[in-house]
Amino acid sequence: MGRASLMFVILMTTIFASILVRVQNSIGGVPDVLIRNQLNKEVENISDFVLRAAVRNANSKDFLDSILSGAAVVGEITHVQSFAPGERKIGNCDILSLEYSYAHTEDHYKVKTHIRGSMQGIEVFRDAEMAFSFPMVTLGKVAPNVVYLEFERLLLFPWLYDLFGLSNRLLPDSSPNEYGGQFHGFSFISPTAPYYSVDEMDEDLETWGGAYSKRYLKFNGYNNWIEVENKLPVDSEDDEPLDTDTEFSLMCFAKIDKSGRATSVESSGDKRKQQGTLLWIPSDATDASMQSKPSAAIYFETTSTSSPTGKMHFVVTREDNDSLMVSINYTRTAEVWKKVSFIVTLAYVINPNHPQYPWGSYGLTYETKNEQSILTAYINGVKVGQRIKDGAVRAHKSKYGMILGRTPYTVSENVKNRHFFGIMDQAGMDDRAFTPTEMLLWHQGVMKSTLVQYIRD
Amino acid sequence: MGVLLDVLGSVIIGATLLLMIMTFQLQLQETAGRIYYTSSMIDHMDAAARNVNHIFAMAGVGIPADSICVSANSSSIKFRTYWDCDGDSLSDDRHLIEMKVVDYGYESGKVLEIRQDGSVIMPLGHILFIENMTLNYYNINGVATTTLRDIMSAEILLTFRRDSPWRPAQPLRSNLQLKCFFMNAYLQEGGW
Repeated sequence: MGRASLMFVILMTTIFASILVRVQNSIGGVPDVLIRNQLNKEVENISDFVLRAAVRNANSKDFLDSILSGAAVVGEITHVQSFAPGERKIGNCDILSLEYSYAHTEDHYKVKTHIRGSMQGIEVFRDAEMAFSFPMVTLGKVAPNVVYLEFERLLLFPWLYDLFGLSNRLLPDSSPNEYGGQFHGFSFISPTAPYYSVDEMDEDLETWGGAYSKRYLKFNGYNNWIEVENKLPVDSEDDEPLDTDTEFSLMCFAKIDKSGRATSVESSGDKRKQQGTLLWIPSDATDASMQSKPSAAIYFETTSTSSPTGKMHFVVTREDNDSLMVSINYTRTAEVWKKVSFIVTLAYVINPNHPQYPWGSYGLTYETKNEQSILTAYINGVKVGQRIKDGAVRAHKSKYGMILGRTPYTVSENVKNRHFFGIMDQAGMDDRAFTPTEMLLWHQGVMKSTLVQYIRD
Repeated sequence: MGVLLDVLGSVIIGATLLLMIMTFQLQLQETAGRIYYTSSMIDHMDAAARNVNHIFAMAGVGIPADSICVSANSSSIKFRTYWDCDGDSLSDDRHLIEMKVVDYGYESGKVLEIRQDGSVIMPLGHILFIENMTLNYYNINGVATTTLRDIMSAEILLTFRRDSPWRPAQPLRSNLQLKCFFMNAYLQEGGW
């Protein structure tokens, strides 16, 4: 009897226990669901509030000044404010971070917020994002990493700097190496000019073709050129200012004036044969025989003053002084400069209709592999030629920096320094040989400039 | 005899009490199960609505407002966007997003699938316990339309179906009606 009673009690207790456990599980799960729901609602509201506040911040001049220290927005910059748990707490929510990104101008920005809600051991996270006229493709994807001049800065009265012998190395470098560009020659107000059509339309930039940049650089074809600072890259253990060694890429966007510069009031004589050097990295400035053998260069050669067709050259000189060159026929199409009457002669001003002519991109890559030296030339991101020589020989050392817009020596009496007559943008160098895909991505990244606005809430 | 009656009486009383307690416990268990079922279903519906709303909100990023929809009918919609719904970030590539109800023969019912470029967005693009989805479309003025280029918002009726835990043969149905907007198309039209 006693055993039967004991068994009965144990049986009953087991049944009760199992029921209680199931009840506990069911009832215990309900608060979690309710808390999560409540927390989701709260974090949603807080996220809306924080996103609005972040947009207001991003649009505030004081805020911009505080993160840029008065400098202009160049390329794409991102500023992240991170907060420790509890540092910025609203209700049951912590603001983890606020991320501000600007692309090329303070008007093209986006903000991201990251919020965490926690209550009674339950955590939920919510990210929100809002963008205003932000580029769909950012230049940072494939961009030169040694030097990248985007000419985004207004450079007022550069001739005053020359007059007083002051350094005007004011064209900023978008790469981390802080190479500055110094403008030489005459430009009455500023050699960098704005894209008016962009500022007015501020939407799909593909109609005018070219970069998100606000500005481009003018080259007048007789005395304008840019000297890139001759210094070592930041944290470089190399002894060469620019790494023209076994692997590198050079590139820029340009519109090469189709006619060249004829006689005008500012420049004496016909300059049409001078057209036009884009990028030039001298090899050995002390050796006359090496003057025409740059470590690397891209330039256009006028073969006939009456024809827009000439030769586009892509050159690399190896350390053994042997040069590799790709030369192709190239027809200029852009009317960049316009002649206007000035007193009794002619002067040149930028053609206001030049946006209707497309930008062209010009690039070269050099690499040594499989006991070969390989030079590849690109126009508009597409391979247009390749030159291969036996021997994996590095390119000539570059001790004299980089020059944009002219050669550092007189080519001939007619050609002089082969000054560039046109406009240029996005000039740079990378320490790797871009693959054809990368070169195309770089070209497309600059050209494909659709701006979007969106909210992810 | 008296002892036997006492024992029998106490057994009857004890058994009755036990029966009452067990009944009470079972009712408590069922009530708890109902509450849990209801709240978890509400949670599921809430999450589903949030996902669907988010997908609609990211339609047409970087696409002209009149070119967002590729196809739209009462049971499915397909649209373009430069938003990567899989990674939930802005994308360089244009994506095609499709929403439709698919029957895989699951015991739990049909599935609302959200596909990006043909692939199901995981894990949020596979919404369970769906029986039906009905879509109606509206233009920027809130007037019903079937013209693809005019579609700016959609009214979605989602019918959820889930087997009852206590009567599996009698599934419970819950309807959810929500209006989702092509928020980024509105941003474009708003002249921001």
